[in-house]
Amino acid sequence: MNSKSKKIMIACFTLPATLCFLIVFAYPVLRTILMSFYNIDNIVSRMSEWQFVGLGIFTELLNTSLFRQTWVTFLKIWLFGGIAVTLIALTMAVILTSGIRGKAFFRAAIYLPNIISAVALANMWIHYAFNVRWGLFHSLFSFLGWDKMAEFQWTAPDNLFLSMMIAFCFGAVGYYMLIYISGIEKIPADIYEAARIDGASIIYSFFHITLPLLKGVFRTTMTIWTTSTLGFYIWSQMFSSNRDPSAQIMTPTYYMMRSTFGDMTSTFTANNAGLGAAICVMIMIVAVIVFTAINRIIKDDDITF
Amino acid sequence: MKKNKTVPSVNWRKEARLLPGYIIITLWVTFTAFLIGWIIVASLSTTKEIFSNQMLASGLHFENYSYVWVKGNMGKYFFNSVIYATCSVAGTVILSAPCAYALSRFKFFGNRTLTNLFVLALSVPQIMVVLPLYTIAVSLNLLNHRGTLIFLYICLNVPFCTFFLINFFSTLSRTFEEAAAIDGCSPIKTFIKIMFPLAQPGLITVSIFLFVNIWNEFFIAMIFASDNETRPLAYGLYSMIQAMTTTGKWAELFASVVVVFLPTLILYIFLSEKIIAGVTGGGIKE
Repeated sequence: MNSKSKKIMIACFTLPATLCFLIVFAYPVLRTILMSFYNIDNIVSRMSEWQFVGLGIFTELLNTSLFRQTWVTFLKIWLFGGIAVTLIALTMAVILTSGIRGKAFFRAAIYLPNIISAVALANMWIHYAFNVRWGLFHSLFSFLGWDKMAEFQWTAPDNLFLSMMIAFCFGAVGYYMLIYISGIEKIPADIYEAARIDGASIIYSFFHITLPLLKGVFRTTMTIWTTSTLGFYIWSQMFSSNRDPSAQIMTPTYYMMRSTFGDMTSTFTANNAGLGAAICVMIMIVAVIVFTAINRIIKDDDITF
Repeated sequence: MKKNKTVPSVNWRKEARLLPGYIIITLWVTFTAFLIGWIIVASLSTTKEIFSNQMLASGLHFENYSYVWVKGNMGKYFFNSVIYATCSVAGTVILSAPCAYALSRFKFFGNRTLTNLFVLALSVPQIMVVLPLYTIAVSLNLLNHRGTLIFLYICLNVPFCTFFLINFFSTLSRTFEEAAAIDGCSPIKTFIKIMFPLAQPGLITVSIFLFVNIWNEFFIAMIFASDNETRPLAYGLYSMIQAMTTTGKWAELFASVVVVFLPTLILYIFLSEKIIAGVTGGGIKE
C-alpha cells in the first residue's frame, strides 16, 4: 500500500475518536483551570465578564472551615475505606484462587453489586439493611439476642459516615477482588510449588510470594481507588437526601456540586462558577500528587514471568 | 471432555484446609442474596405487610409495578435509559474500533502520544470536565436533550473503549491482514471484512460492559438531563424516592428499585463472564 493512502486511512480512523477526546477532555480541563482564577457570577457568563482574582478563590476556600472539613472526610474515606476494601478484596481473591470449588460462581456473586446502579444499591442499604423497623441488621441482631446492636440507629447523623462506608465498601470489594485475582493468577504456580516443597506454609507463601509479586497490581488499585474516592459523590448525595448535608459525609466533589449547581435544600449556594472550578483544580492537584507519590513509592521492578 | 475422565475423588484433607475460605465467601454471598432477595419480595408485598413483617401474606402484588411504571413515570424513564444505553454503546464502539485498530497496527507520527492521552483520560475525575461542558450546553440551548446526553456518553467512553480494544487487537494474529494485503485488499476493506468479524468477542465484551455502565450512570445525567421528559432510570429513581418515603409508599419504593436493577441483573446472570472480562481487560492499565 502506498504511503499516501495509508496516511489518509489512519487519519480517517483516528480523527473522530481524537475529536471526542478534545471536546470532552482536553478543552474542558484547560477551561476549568482557567476559570479557577476568575470570579464568575453566572456559569454561562462570557469570558469578558469574568473578574480576574488570581489565587483569591483558592485562599478563600482554604479559609472556609466547612470546605476544609470536606478534605478530612475525603482522607477518612480514602484511608479507612482503602484499608478495609483492600483487606477484604485481597482475602476474597486469595480464597478464590486457593483451588475451591465453584470459583466462577462465587467470583460472579461477589462482583454482582457492581452491576447494580449505585442509586438502587444505596436505597437497598438505607431502606432495608439499615432500617430500624424491618432492617436486615435489626432482624439479625434481634434474632441473636444482641438487643443493643439491634437498636443501633444506623442512619442517625452521628452514624451516617459509618453506615455510608459499610454500604460503599461492600459494593467496591468485588471490583478490586477481580483485579487481585487476575494479578495472582499471573504468578506462576511452580513458584508456590517450590515453596511448598521447601516446607513453606500457605500464610508464609502469601506474605513472601504473593504480596511482593503483586506490587504492580497494588499500584493500579491504588490509582483507581484514588480516582474513585476523589470523585466520591453519589453515596454522599444518597445518604444525605431529605436533610441538609451532614458535614460528616460531605466530600470535596459533593461540596463543589452543591455550591455550583445548588440544591433546593442547600444553604450555602455560592453562585460563583469560579469557585466550583477552583475546587475541581484542587481535586486534580491532589490526584496528581497522589499518583506521583504512588509511582515513587512503588517502583516498577520489571518482573517478568 | 470431562465426562471421559474418571471423576476425581474428593480430597477431604484439601477441602478441610479450605473450609475457612468456604465459610467466609458463603457468608458474604448469602448476605448479598438476602439484600437483593428481600427487596424483590418486599416489592411484591403491601406496605402494611412490610411494616408487620408478614410479607407476601396476601399473595403477589404486581400492582406495585404497574403503579411505578405508569403513575411513577418509570416506564418513560426506562424507555429513555434503553435509548441512551443502546445509542451510546453503538456510537462509542463505532468511533473507538477504527481508532484502536490504527493505533495497534500502524506506526505513525503521534501514535504513542495519542495512546497515552487516552490512558490519561481514564484517570481524569469527571468533575474536571462538567463545568465547561455545562456552559456549552446551556449557551447552545442543548440542556435536557436526549442527543446531548448520548453525545456526552459517547465521547466520555471513547478513551476507555479505545484503550480496551487496543489491548484486544494486539492479541489478534496479523496473518489474515497480511494475506489480504498481498491480495490487494485496501486497508479500510480489510478492517471491515476481516478485522471486524475477528474482533467480535472483544467488541461484544466491551459493549456489554459499557451498556451496564451507561445504564447505571447518574452523575452526568443529573447535570445534563434532569428534566422529567429526558431523565434516565437511575436519576428517575432518585427523584422518586424522596416523595415515596414522605408519603409512605414503601412497597412501591422497593418496586421502583427493582425496576432499575432487574435489567442489569438479568443481563449479568447470562453474561457475567463477559462483564468480568470487561473489568479485567480494561481496568488494569498495564
